[in-house]
Amino acid sequence: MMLEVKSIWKTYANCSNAAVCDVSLQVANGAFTALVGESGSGKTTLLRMIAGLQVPDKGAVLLNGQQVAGGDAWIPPEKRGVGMVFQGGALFPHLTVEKNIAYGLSHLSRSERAATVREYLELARLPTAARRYPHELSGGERQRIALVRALAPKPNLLLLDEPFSNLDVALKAALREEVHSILRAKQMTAILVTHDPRDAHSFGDRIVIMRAGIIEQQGTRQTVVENPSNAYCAQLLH
Amino acid sequence: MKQPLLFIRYLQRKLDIWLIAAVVIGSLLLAPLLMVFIGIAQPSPEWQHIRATVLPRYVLNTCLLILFVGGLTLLFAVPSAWFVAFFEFKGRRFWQWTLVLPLAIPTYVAAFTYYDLLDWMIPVWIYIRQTWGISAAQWAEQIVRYGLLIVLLSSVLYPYLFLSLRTAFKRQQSIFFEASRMLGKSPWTMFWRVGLPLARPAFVAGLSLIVMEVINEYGAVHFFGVPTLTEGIFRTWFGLGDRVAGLRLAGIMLLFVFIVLGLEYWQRRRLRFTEASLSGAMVSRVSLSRRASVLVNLLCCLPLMLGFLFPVGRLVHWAYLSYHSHKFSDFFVQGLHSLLLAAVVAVILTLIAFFLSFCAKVHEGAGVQRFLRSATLGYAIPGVVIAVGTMQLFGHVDRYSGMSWMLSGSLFAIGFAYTVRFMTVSYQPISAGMQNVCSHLHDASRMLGQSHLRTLTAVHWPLLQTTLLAGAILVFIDIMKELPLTLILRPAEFETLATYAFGFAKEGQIYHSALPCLVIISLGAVGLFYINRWLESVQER
Repeated sequence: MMLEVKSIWKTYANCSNAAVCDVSLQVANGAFTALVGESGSGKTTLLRMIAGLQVPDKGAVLLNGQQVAGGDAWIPPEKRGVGMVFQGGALFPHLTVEKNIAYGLSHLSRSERAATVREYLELARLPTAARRYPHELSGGERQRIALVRALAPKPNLLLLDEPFSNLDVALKAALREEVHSILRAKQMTAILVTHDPRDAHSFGDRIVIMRAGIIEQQGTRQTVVENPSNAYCAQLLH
Repeated sequence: MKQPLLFIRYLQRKLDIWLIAAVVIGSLLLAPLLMVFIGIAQPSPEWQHIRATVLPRYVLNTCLLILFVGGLTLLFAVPSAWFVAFFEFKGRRFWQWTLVLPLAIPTYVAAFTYYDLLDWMIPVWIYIRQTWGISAAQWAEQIVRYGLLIVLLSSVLYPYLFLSLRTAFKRQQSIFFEASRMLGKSPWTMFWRVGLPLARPAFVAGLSLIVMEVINEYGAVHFFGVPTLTEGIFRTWFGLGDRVAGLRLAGIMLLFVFIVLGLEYWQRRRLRFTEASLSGAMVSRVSLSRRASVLVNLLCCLPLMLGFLFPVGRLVHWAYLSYHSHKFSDFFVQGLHSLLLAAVVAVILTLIAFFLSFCAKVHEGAGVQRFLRSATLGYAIPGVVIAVGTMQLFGHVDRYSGMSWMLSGSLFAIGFAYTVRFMTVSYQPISAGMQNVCSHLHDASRMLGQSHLRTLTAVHWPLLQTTLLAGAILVFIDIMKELPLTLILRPAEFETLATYAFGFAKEGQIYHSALPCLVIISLGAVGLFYINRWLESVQER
C-alpha cells in the first residue's frame, strides 16, 4: 500500500471542533483518489497532514509501510518523497519557468538538471516557455508548470490541492484531461482535493467524501456514484 | 525507561535550532524591560518625596499632551488622508507625497524652531501683567507655551495617522460606497458612516503610534519646560541620583503604554469586520470642482506649513547665518558617528528581524507567535525606559564579570538598545510580507525537498528584498532622529548629530544647531521618499 492514514485527528487552537476526526484512508500504488467535500470539511487539512505541512494531534501516517507521522515518528515534508500542487500553482514569482522546475532538482548535476527540465517542459507542452516568468503565463500554463515542477523530483505520491479551482470552465475541463494523461504517463499515485464533483468523477479511481472532519463514504468511483451511503453523498456528487 | 526516551524524542521534534535561536534572541530583547520591573521592587530614598510633590504634575502633563496632541492630529490627518484617497483634484499627487515629509523632522528640532515665538509675545505678557496682575500673565504665558508645544508636536506627528489612514482608505472596496450612493447619501455621510468606520483599525493603530510618541517625547518637552514622565526620569535619575525612583517612573510610563496597547488590541480584534474591504474593485476617485479643489489645497497646506515648511525655512535661514562658525572637522565626525551607527544597527537589526519573522513562520504555534510579538514590541516602550533598563542590564553584566563600565558605557550597549527599541519598525513589515507574499511558496519549497535554510535563502530572501530595504531605511531614519536613548547611553565624549544639535540648543545657541538638524532632516526626507514610493507600489500590487 502506498499510503495508509490511521485514525488521524487534528484540532486547531482557535476552534472547538476537530478539523479532522478519526479519519482512516488507504491508497494503493498507482491509484488516483479524489477527496471531495465542501469548504471546511477538513480535506485540505488531511492533505497537509499527509504532506507533513501539519502535525496530526493523534493517529499515524504511513508511506510505503514506513511511519512518517504519529507517535514519536516524524519525517519532515522535504524528506517524505511526496510532491504537491497548490491551489493557484505557487510558482516562485522571482524565478523563470525553468528555474522553477529545477528548484527541486538540486541533487542532480547541472547537465542532468537541464535535461530533466527540458523533458518536463515537453511534458507540459510548453517547450519554449523556459525563460518566461510566471506572470507571463496564462492560468492554465501556470498550473501545467506547477504540475510538472511537482513531478520533476519523481515523488512517490502526488497531492493536488484544488489545482483547477481558479480556472474558467472550458480551460478547467481541458486541463483536467491533460493532468490525468500526464499522471497516467508517469504512473503516479495521486490524491486530488476538490469541491467540484466533476473533478472527482473524471479524476478518481476511488472517491472519498468528507464532511465536517469525518469520512462520509469511500470506495471505487462506481460504488460511490451508484450507491451513495446517504442523501448528503448523493447530493454532493450529482 | 521508555518515558525519558520518549521525552527526549519529543524535545528533538519540538525544539529545533530555529526555535532555540528565536527564544534566545527574544529573551535578550525582553531583558531590559524585565530589569525595569525587577528594579521597581528595590527601596528608593526619594520616592515618597517625588510622589507627594512632582509626580501628579508629570502624570497630568503627560495626559494633557496625549489628549490635545491626539485631538489636533485628527484634524490634520483625517481630512487630508480622505481627500487624497477619495478625490481627484489638481495637486493631489503633490500632497500625497509631501504630507508625509514632517515625519523627517524630529520633534526636538521642531521645538527649537518654534520656541523663540514665545519671545515675540513678551509685549503681550507685559500688557497682561500691567492690566490684570502677575498671576494672569503667568497663566497666559503657560497656556500659550503649552498650546505652542501641542501645535508643534501635532504638526510633526500627524503623518503617522495620515499614512495609516491613506493606506486603509485606498484599499476600501467601491461597492460599499456605491451602495451608500444608491441609498441617497452625501459624500460627507459616506465618509462619516462608511469610510471612517471601515478604516477604524488603521485609525486606532495610527493614533496609538502618535500617543506612544507623545509619551516617549523628551527633547521638545524639556525645551518648552513642560515636565512629563520622561522628563521626570531624567531629573530623578541624573539630577537626584535615585535610580530606583527613575525605574518606578518608567514603570508608570509603561502603564500608560500598556493601556494604549490594550485599546489597540481590543480594536484589532474587530479587524475581521473590515477584512471584507480588502478584496474587489477599489474606490475610483471623484473629481472635485475648481472651487472645492482650492479649498482642499488650502486645507492640505496647513499641516505641511506648520510641520515642515516653517521649521525647515527657519533652519535654512539660521544655517546660513551660522555655518561659518562651525568647526567642520567636529561636524564631520559627529555626522560620521550618526551615519555609521544608524547604518550598521539598521542592517544588523533588519537581518535579526528577518530571521525572527522566519522563525515565527516556521513555528506557527500560538505560544511562539505570542512570545515573538511581545519581544518585538520595543517601539511601544519609551526610549528612556529601554535606556534605563539596558543600563541596569549591562551594569549587572559588568559587575558580575568584573569589567567595570565595559559594556554599559559602550557603543554595543547603545546598539543593543536601538535594536530593542526599533525592532518593531522592521519586524512588522517583514513578518507581514512573509505571511502575505510567501505563505504558499514556503510550503511549495518544502514539498520540493528543500530545507528551511534553503527556503529562507532561495525564496524568502529574494522575494522580500524590497521590504527588507524599506524596513532598514525606516530604522535608519528613526536612529538618526533618536535623542533620549542616545543621551543616556552614549559613551563619554561620543556625539551624534542629534545630541550635537541638542547640546547647542540647550546652551541657547539655537542658530548653531541648525546645520546638524538640516542634515538629519535631509537624510530622513530622502528615506521617506523611498518609503512612500514603496508603499505606493505595494498598494498598486
